[in-house]
Amino acid sequence: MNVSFNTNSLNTYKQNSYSFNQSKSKQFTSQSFTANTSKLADAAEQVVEQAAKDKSGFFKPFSNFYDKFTDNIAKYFTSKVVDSKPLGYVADKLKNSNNLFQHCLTIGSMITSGLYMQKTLTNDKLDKDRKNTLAVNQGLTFLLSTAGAYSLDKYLKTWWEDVTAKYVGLQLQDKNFEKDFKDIKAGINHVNKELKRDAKADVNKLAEAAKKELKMSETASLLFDRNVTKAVKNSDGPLKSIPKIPLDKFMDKLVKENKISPVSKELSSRIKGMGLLRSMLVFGFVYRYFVPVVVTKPANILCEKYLAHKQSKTEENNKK
Amino acid sequence: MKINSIQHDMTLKQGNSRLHSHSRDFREKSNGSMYENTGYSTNYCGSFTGKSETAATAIKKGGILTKNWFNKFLEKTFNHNIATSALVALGLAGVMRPATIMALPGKKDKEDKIYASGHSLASAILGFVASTVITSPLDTAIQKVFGDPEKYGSKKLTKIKRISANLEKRADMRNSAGEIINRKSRELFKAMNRHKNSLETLAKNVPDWIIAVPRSILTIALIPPILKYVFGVEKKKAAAPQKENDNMTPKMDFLEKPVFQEFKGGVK
Repeated sequence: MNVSFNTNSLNTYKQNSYSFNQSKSKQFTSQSFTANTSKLADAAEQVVEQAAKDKSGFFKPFSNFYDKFTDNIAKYFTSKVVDSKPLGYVADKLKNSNNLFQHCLTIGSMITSGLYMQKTLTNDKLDKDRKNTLAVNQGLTFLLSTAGAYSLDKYLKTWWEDVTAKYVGLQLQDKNFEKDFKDIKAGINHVNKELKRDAKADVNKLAEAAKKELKMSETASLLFDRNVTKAVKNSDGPLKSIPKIPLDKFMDKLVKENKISPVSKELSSRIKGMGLLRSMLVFGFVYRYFVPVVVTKPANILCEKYLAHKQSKTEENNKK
Repeated sequence: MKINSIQHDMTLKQGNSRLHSHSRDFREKSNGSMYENTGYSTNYCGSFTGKSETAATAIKKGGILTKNWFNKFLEKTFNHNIATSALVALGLAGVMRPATIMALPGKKDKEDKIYASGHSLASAILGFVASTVITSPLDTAIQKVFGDPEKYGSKKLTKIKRISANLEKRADMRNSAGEIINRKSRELFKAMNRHKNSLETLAKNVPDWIIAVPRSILTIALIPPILKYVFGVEKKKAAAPQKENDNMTPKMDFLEKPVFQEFKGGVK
């Protein structure tokens, strides 16, 4: 029996024939066929697809119910909420904020903290002094930890952006993507540093020096030069600094230059997801780990000491 | 004709889907049987190019960033803000915090540590389950409304979509020198996109504010029975003589109560 073996890419092997040994060919004595591996692969894929369909068929009533349920939520609740004036007003006020998601996390935590503060203040088993001190302790802990979370989030932003650039480069299979992004960023930092040192320095010369030092690629040089030119053009007086290029704008510029293909909706979601993940990790770490493990106990000890000190003073005054 | 060895294209083009891996396995099996019977070795490569080789090297260096599950996780992170936050909290408060509490020195209060760890774990699990169950349908509904506002009757989003489409055309118009002609349209287009994104972020996260209080109350109410019946951990009551001493030097007994145990400086 002859089997003609053909793969998708290696067309040169199209003509190769392989002979099976007798024992196996006995099973196919009445058959003689030409098997194309791409067809076989397709057939296998169909089997897998069919299996997946069968599986999804089992869950179909549930998924249909969920689909209808969410359809109703979308129609009668979400669309109404989205169209509501208060949400529109808040969205308009916060549209330029770079930390909107962080604010959302903070508000959620503020509500929970407020609940515990309210429970402390309305606790009948505590005297007034203790109630107030504890509530202040809880409030201060929340404020300090929130400030810490925002600071840490901001501190990690630059590093996380580099990680995201690496991720995008890997997704696009573009080995220059990450390097170009980092080079432009380093170039801008270099020029800004020099401008800070000497405000009258020639920006173009500084830019050329930065490009040489970093051995920028053609693409990176092009985008870097454009950014410098734009900054010079937009500045009224002497140029103080060159604005940085965030990752999303860097990608837009590459798309416009036809250096990369337009980013798919899925990849765009994932890139946005990376940004959200940073804040989730930072705020989660501060609120759910650092504060309960490290901050709460010392804060309670301080609170206890303060109350003991206050009580001893009151007792002293009473004696007098 | 001699063919040497099986080589898979390790580029991202093929992806990691089961479908592909299955078909590859199929090829391997076919090739393997031929090798066994004929003495020939087989060589298959989907698309062997220089780029593929570079990509394969890059993948090795990429680690977690190249994993398929990580891609899916990032998509979930974007679409389900609250549930993913709760998942992160599950890792931190359900694994890291109990591990740290147990690793901290101090043999005397071992039972307290076990109780605190169990409490942290139970609250993290409850928080995650409650957040996921409540907000997942809401997130799906948000995706639907923002994806097709006409179908779900959102007048505002329909209007934004229509105006944005017109503005986008005008915003990208350039003259022969490559300069943007209509700067006002460009600015308006950007502002409208920012407004839409801000609306989406708020719509995804506002439910967290609404469920924050009932979720906390539910967590506080359910933690003692869960600790008792699921984890077999129960907070021991202080001995009578100790109580007498406590009266002499006031201590914050109420802090041991679930309500205050739950307090984490502004968390769920």
